[in-house]
Amino acid sequence: MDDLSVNPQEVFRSQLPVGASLIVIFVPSRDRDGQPIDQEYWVDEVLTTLGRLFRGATAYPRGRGVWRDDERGGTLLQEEPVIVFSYVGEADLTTNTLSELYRTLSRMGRHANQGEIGVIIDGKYYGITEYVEE
Amino acid sequence: MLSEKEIRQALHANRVFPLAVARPHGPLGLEQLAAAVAGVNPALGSDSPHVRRPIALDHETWEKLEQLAETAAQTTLQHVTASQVAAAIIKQYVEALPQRSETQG
Repeated sequence: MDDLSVNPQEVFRSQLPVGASLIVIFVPSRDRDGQPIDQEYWVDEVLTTLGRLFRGATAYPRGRGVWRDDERGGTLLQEEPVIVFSYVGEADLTTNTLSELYRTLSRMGRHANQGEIGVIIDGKYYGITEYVEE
Repeated sequence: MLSEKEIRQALHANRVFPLAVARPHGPLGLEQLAAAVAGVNPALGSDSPHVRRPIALDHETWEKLEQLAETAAQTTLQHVTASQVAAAIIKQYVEALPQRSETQG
């Protein structure tokens, strides 16, 4: 099991669409004060926005971690962001679609009390801290 | 193809960092990406060894911490919260304390 050089794309003879950019958004589970947020709602909002703007998106259901807070009667606390990603055709990655995306992320940042919203586009992290009023 | 500057403006992003994982593939690739993001934004990381516990401080202390956070943000050009300043102060203080064996010896 030490063969780490396997390329799944070669195995499955698949490839990404030509010119596709990868957008990844992290939907947090807690606010900046550590309080849980309605993560499921925001995952749906981000999925809907990406689907509308870029034709499709996937939320990656990661293995979720818990830790037991013995100071709170052994309450199990979950702290895992959900990763939502979308492959975007070059023609769809425009200032207009990104501005639309920003509106959703801005709403999430403000309502879910986030210090920063992180968006990754083609390997670059864009940190958003300015949230507009609706 | 939009430039980094155009993307940054459209997203109103206040900072941009290149990540070591440019094109993650599959679940393991996304885990790698999450680990890389944790280095940029610890609040979004999954592998953080930090434990969150609420601590109560009076309003005056929080206001001072907010002021320190604003100063730190202006100096570092990064978003800094009062909680992060509080955590850094506590960590620095605790690390400077002598080990228990030293105090008991």
